[in-house]
Amino acid sequence: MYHYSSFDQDFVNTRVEQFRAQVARRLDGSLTEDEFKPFRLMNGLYLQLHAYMLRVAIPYGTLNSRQMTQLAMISERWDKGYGHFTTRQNIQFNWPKLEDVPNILEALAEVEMHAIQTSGNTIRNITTDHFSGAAADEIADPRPIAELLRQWSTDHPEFQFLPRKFKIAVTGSAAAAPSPALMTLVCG
Amino acid sequence: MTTLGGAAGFEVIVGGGLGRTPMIGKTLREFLPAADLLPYVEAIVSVYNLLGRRDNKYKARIKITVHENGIEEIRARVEARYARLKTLFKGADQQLLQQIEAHFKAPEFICEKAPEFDAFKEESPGFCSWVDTNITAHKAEGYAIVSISLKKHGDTPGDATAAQMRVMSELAKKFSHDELRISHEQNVILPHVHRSDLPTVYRALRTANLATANIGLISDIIACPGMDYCALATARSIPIAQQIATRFAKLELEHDVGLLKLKISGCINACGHHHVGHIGILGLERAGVESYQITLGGDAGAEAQLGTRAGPGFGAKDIVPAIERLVLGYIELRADADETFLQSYQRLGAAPFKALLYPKEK
Amino acid sequence: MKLNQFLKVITANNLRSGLVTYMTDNYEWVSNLGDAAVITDADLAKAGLAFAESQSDVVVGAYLSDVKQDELGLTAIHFRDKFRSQGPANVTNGKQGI
Repeated sequence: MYHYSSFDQDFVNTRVEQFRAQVARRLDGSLTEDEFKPFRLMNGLYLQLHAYMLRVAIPYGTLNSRQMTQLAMISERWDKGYGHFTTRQNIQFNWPKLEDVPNILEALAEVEMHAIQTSGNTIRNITTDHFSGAAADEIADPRPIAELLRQWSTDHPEFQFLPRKFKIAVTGSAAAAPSPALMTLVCG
Repeated sequence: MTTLGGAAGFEVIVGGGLGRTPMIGKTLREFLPAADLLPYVEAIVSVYNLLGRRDNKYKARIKITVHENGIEEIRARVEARYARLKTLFKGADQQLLQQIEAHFKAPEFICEKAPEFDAFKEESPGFCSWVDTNITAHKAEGYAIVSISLKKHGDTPGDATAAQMRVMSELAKKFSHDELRISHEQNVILPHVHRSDLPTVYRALRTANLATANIGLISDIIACPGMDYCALATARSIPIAQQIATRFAKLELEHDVGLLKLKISGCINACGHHHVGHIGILGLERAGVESYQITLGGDAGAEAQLGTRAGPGFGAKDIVPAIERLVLGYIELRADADETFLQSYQRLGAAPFKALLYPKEK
Repeated sequence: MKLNQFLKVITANNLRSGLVTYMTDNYEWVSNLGDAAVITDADLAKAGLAFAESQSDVVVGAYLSDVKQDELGLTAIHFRDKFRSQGPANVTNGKQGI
């Protein structure tokens, strides 16, 4: 599977440190909630009914064992020992404390993961068939294209403030799993 | 992905989406050469960025842009923009793609027989049943794709504990070339497991409460977090999913019922994809209480189809019995045991199914 | 209980923990609905909410929530507020486990 280049890693690490400073400024009162909210949403942090919720991108639904172990660690150390896998192939943590989120993002960056563009009117996590690269009836593995799209869409300066969120799915199978005709844009 | 005269490329579909205004996407381009994907996608997003409505957030999604302007107008604008953008992409994206592709090289599969698999299948009915529902054919001989169900009857769809995550991680490392996938149906996939390892994988999963044999069955429910967590929700989803799964486990009917996609959303934003469930449930608020609306006949497969609302909503206490009437009634209605719920619905139309949901008072 | 009786509490989410919180008679924030100040007057409600909103370094998203008081104590009227006061039903270590 894909491994971050030094460019990817630097970008994600920088975003963690930027958010750490933003959280500190919110907690010391220099940022109001209205000023802070766009920053937290750009890093996938929502305020839900009972608590904050952090939505972490799982690009095209692919993980390695180290990443899954890290998600387990995060859920135990900073949450309540469980996570919720979503219908868009992401994972959500339901109980993070605001001041812990920069540390969670740092732990994610250690295993080449992030929560960028899991909220807001941007291009969201690219989805693919979950049997990519394994299915017997596949024309081609869509994940390299999905990774290309991820790199192109992440922090794309023109597409950070679209009219509304935008979702892309790529499928390499005719009997497509993520329902090609139902996503905003499907290359299938 | 599609091929035209041997060349790889894409069919590009645009403007589909669920939410409060569900729409099936329309084909923007029947065939786009693979190498031109990025400039073409950039053209689509940049046309949408300018044309999409910013005055009303309920009309801001690209499905509305396509609907209001017409697919021909969108196509003309995208093609014009694409013609300009294409010249700016000088092949760097394709070089990058080549580097990325090297990361996704298929693992080296060892094709050998799996006598342990056949022997254990004879010995363990539980394993046999799990293989029937949770295993999918792999492209390499001797291998299988394992779907790990996060839908144990009565549990929260899509939730995994830290201990379960560690078990799945360990199994991926030992038996699936270090790979895991998350499905949009909220299950976890081990994509490359040798068949001879399946008994070991099954036993480890069973110990961790992860070996529920129900992939594709009625208890393999998609459910959004609903009002147990979500600030946008208008009703709860999780307890409904838990009750339906528990009820059908008790009836011991779900294997007989067979393929049935049940999807629950806790508000019209449709994170639970209810529009494309064979049976969809939408949780709303009516007169200060939770109310659940049923849609029938949706399909997220290749022949994408939006479900149709069956009638008035049910209260939180009435929704599970209503689903039970519907599914038990389907067993009587189906032509034979091979006819799925969706096929029966398509053959017979909505009327007999509505009659099951809304029986006339005697 | 009279239906049109004015009975409200002020609730919000804690800025640091994100958890649901209620304002007490002493203008403090607590996690238990039962300990919340019950407001029976529209002007007091307005003043209380203004105070809550001024505490933006402590709480987020303050609002007035309708409640009723009976032999079971203080309970929220709307089911959404009831769930907020109880925590998610699918786990035992949500609000219940604090």
